[in-house]
Amino acid sequence: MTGYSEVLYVIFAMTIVSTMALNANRFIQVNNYTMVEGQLEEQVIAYSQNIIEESRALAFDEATTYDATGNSTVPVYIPNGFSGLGTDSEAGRTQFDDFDDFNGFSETINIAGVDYDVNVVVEYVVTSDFETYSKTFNKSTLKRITVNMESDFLKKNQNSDNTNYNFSFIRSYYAD
Amino acid sequence: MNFGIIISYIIAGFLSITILMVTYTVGFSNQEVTTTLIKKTHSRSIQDIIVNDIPKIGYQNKTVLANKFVTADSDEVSFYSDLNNDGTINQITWKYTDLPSPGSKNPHDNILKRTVDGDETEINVGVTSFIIRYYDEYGATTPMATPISSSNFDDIIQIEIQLELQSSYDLSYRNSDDENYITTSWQKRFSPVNLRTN
Repeated sequence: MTGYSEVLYVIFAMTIVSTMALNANRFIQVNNYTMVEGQLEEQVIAYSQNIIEESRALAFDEATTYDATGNSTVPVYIPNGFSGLGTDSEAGRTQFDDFDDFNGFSETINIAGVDYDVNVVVEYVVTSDFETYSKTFNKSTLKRITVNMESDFLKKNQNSDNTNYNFSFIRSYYAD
Repeated sequence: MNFGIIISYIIAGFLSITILMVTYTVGFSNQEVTTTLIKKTHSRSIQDIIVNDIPKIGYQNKTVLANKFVTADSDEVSFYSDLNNDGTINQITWKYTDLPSPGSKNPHDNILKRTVDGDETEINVGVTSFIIRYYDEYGATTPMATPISSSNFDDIIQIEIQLELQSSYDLSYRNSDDENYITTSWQKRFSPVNLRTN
């Protein structure tokens, strides 16, 4: 046993050092991941805000778009006079003229070398549910836009799905 | 010398080198994280001021200013706004100069200036790029050509700011490596209320 004791000491020492090296490596990986994640999440927030701000700059509904003199037109019946959600023959984002034209809008954008998948949903929400603002299939005077964003670089771990970031804004016809 | 002792020295040397390398790498990683955190804090501070200023372009209590812009270029934007909602119309200017930031070892680090009614604030926290783009259509992918002439000021409806900050010192893993500066970037397109066409 005497001949093997040195070998055992060496194996023990190498095990300790290897464990230390692996832990350090993991620590560095976590550091790098945190750095990248923080950077990209900030950009995700900024781009989501872009879309929300842009949608707010448009009319509330296709039926309340602006006429040639710049005055807002109003449907006879509110909210039943409002349009269905989604585009109304607008060909692209530059032609969007009301808030819900963004419903179903999706694109892949590249910012600073990173691709982000963007998907937007607009829905009518119940006007009497001030806690959860649940979705309704009927028309109402409240619309909610939700911007969903994800990137291949933003996931909890290598084998998991991309993390989905979503940001919502509720717009009222009366408080426009 | 005993063969066993020689082998032990070799293994001890190997272990010592491993420990030193791990310590250096962890230290370097910590430096990177700390520098990134500092740069992100700097970037956030600038973003806060930009987010305070740009959406207020053309603002005046209960109305919209007729003249909103003074200058609209890719490295400078100057506009009017009642910034503090106190009835006083201020002229706000953001300009990315070609003046190097004092004390910085980064050759790309220049001074960003924010001026409110002649009161100048120099921002020298490692701004290496500050690009302003103007759009005459919501969601357009092609910005307007700069500088924008005063006759086209009314066409501007969106403004995009691209900001990049870098560390003021080189952070290379080895001395022989190329210069490496920690970079943080941010890009945001604003749709100011008072630039709406309706």
